[in-house]
Amino acid sequence: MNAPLQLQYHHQPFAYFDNYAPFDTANTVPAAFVGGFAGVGSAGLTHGQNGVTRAQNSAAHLQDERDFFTDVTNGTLPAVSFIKPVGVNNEHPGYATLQQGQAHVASIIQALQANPAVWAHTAVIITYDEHGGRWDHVTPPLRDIWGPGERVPCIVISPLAKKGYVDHAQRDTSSILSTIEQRFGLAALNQRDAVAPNFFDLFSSLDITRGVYVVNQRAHTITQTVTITNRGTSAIAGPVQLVLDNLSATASLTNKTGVTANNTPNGSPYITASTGSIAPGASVTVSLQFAMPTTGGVNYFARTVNGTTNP
Amino acid sequence: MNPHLTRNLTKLAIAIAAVLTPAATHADTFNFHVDLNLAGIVGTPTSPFFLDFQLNEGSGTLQNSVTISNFLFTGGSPTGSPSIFSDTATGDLGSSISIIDNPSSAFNEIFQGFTAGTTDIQFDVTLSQNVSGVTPDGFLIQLLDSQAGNPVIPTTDPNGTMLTVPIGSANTLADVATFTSISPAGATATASAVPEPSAAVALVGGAACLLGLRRRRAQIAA
Repeated sequence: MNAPLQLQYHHQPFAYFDNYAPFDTANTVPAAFVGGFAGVGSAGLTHGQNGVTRAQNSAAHLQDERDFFTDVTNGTLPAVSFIKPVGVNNEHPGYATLQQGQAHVASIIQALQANPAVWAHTAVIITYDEHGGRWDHVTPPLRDIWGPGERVPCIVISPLAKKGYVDHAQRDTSSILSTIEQRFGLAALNQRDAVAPNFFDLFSSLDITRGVYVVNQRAHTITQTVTITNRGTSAIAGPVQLVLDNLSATASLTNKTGVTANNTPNGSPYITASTGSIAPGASVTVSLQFAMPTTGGVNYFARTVNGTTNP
Repeated sequence: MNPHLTRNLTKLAIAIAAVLTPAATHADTFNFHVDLNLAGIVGTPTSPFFLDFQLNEGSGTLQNSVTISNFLFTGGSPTGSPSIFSDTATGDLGSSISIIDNPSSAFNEIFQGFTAGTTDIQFDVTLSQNVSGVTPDGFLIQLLDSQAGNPVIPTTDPNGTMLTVPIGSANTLADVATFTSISPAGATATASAVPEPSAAVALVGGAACLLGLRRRRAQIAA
C-alpha cells in the first residue's frame, strides 16, 4: 500500500498526551480534559463528564476527516476543528504535490461554503508547519530557543475576514491558540500562547464589495462603486473611512478625502464612506474616481478605519 | 418505405441526438440578448447618440473576451466609424464587435454613432467567464451624447451605465444590472436569454427522433 496515503501518527498532537491514549480503557480522564463535543463520532460525551476513559476521549477527539465533512453538511461542527491532511495531501516536498494538497484544502472551503448557515460564522486558518525548504530572503526573528523559524504562509478565509488584505504583523502558530482562547474566554496553556498576538485584526464586520471599473477614455477617468456592508450585530461608529493601500503606482484616487497619517500603512489615500455610523445589516456605497493610469490596471488593497476623521 | 430502413434511420437519429446533446450542457460562455429601447430619447437636444461598449480588467490577470453580434436597428442605422480605445477591440455596429481584456490592454472601450431616429437596438452578447479577483472584470454598455467629448448620458447607475455585468464563473441573467437614462430620460435596457445554438441542435435532433418513431409506428400499424 502507498505509505503517504496513510495517517501519519506522529503528526497527530493527541498522540503525545496521556489523556488521549488511544488503547487505554483502564484509566479515566480528569473531567476538565473532556471537551464539549458535537457531531458524529463524539459518542455522546459531554463537557466535563466524569468516568470517561482515555480511549473514549481519544476516539471522540481524533476523528476521520469524513466526520468533518458530515458535520459540515449537518451543521453539527464543534466550535473548533483542526484538520491535518494525510501525507498525500500535505504538500510536503518529496512525496506529495502542491496541486493535490491545495485541491484538498479547496474541497474543505467549498464544503463549508456549501452550507451558508455554517459558513456565515466560520473562519478557516490555513498554515504550514515548515516553509518548504526554499530560500527566504527575510532573516527569521529570534525569540527563544524554539524559534520562530523561516516564514510560513498563513491564509485566513472567512466571510468575516478583511478581503484582499495583507497583514504584516509578526505572528506564529501559537497565535492560532491565542485567537481561540480569547474568542472563547479560555485560559492560556502557558506563557507562549498567553503573549502570542491574536488574529482579530484580520476580521471586520464591515464587508467591502467592489464593483467593476467604468472608464471614460475621453476624460481619462475611471470610476468604481464600492459597497460597505455591516454584517455584524452591532453598529459601527462613524465616520467610516475607506483606505486604499498599495494603490497601483500609475493610478491615483482623484476624489480622495486625504491620506492616512495615523493608521499604518500611512500615506495611503482614503475617502469618507460614511460620516455617521453604519447600523447592523446596513450598507453605504462610495464612488471612487481614478485618473486613467498611463500603463496597466488599477489595483489596491481595501481596508476600513472607523471612528476618526483623521485616519 | 422499407421497414428496415425506417428502423435504421430512427436509430441513426437517436445516435445523432445522443452524440450532440452532451455538448449542449457545457457552455463556458454567458450568452444573453440585449434590447435597448431608445424611443423615449429620440429627438432630444443632445442627439444623435453613440453606443459604447467596454470590457475592463479587474484586479486579476485572467483574460476575458466578449463578442457582440446580430445587431438589429429599428428606425435608424449605425453611422460613421467606431472610435476605439483599446489594443484588442475590433468590428463595428454594422457587423459585430469583439473585445478582449488583458494586462497590456486593461481598459477597453469602443463606441459608434447611430442615426437620430433610432428607436430600438437589439443584439446578442457572448461573454467569457474567467473570474478575475476582488475587483471583477466587467462588461458594460453606455450611451454617449453628441456634445464635445461625448459625455456619458447619466443613468440610474451612479457610474452612468445602461447595463453592467461583473464577470463571475457562472453568470446568470440575475447578474446583469440594467438601468434607465436620466438626462435625457426614457432610454431603457432589458437583458433576456438567447437560445443557445447547441440547444437548437438538440431540439432538431429530438424532433428527428420523434418523426422517426412516428413513421415507425405508422409502418407497424400498416
